[in-house]
Amino acid sequence: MVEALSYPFMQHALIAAVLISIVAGVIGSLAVVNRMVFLVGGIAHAAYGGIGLSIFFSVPMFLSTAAVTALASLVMAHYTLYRREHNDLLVGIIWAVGMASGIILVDLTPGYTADLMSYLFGSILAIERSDLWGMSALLLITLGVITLRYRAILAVSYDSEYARLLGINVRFYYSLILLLCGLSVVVAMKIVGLIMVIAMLTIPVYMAQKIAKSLLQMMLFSALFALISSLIGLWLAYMYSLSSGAAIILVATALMGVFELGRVLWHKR
Amino acid sequence: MPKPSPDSLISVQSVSFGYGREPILRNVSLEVERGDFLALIGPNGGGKSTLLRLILGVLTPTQGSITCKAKAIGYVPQNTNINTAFPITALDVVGMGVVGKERRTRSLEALRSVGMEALAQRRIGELSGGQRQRVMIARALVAKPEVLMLDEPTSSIDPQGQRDIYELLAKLGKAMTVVVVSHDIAVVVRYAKKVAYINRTLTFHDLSAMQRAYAAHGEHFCEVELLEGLHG
Repeated sequence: MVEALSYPFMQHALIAAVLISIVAGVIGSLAVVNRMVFLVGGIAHAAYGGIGLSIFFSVPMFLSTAAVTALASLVMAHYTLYRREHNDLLVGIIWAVGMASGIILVDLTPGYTADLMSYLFGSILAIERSDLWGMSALLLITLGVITLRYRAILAVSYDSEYARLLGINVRFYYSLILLLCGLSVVVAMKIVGLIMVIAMLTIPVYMAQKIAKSLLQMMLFSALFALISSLIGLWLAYMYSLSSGAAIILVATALMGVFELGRVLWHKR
Repeated sequence: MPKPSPDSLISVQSVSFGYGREPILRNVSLEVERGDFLALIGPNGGGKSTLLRLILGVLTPTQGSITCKAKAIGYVPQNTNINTAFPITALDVVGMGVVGKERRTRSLEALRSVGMEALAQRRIGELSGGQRQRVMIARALVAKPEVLMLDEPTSSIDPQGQRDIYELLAKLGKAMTVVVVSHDIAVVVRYAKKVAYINRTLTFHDLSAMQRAYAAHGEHFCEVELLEGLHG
């Protein structure tokens, strides 16, 4: 284990895991209380279009995926704010169109043979120093926005009708929350993988929701559970050459099992 | 067009509203005066909630005008069972309506006025329907409104909880103006001072006639017959 820490890629992966855990805790909580989890799932898959753009036009992947998820989030926010019944249809379309565009762009790029699977399932080898800077920047923006606008975000998340009566611009904050969710996908993408981002945003939150008394507590507990899962998952991925995303998710699931068992025993006392 | 009286807090003048061609409300006029305990009754889809939302300024009339002299209106929405899994305490729900340093003291004060102070730190989802409704009333009271408007405040509450809510409203009604949407006529007859029937248009009811009819038929009176009798 100590030997593993001497490799730069492992150091990068560990720093990334901490960043992702904070994002998963904060943004996952917002996604769950706003019932946006599947919207975020759709956005995560659409992010594949950003990967295609990056490869085809040789632009930094971080920027192209951020642009695509931001666009997908805002489109989603526009069409779902007052019409939640459109959700599944829209998720289906954005999900598939985003992935299809990504695949076609990669097909059209001559001689490209890189391992795209790592974007779908996550890889601990994939994190570079520049990724860490990008992830940190997105995390800081996210935390800054949420800290400055916590009361409004809380009001819109809990009861949007009442928030409107308080004079809060519900459309703006709803779009903002979804945009932050979309950008969190970009942060989590490389280690957890696009397909499994959604689990990272929900499993820790599920546990936190049972014990938290406030949205802030929920975010903190979720981040803690996400961190435990990521660190153990990464270690397993390193030891047994597994896909890091899948390893982290299964560790989180096991943790959830232990948590539920603990709760049952606690209530039986 | 009726002139607003000097005591009028809210004046709805010849208001019509609709989405598309079908009007939801047609030529509705209503004065809410200081100290009123006004009940709005009528069938589902008749426009009761729409009228509340017009008064609150969430919707804009297609015709007519609404003047509101009240500095603040407290509003309790119809469905208070939304988002019960949300991690938030009763105190924090009430605190949403206040900005600034006084948030905690004023929220506690509002919870005390509805008898919920002891449960301030409970999660909102752990409360019963009646208790949650009291918290929502506290949230409306925290801004110190002159008018309290409630949309079907007892629709998802057990009978004892319903009586408690109306006893609370009667108590609050001594110090402030209350407008309540309800289709529970038995309750309206007992607590309201004025009754307006809304089904696209608005008609005022003679409350004493309703009270007499209610007294004559006792607990078993039929609400539909009562209303038909009043219209006939």
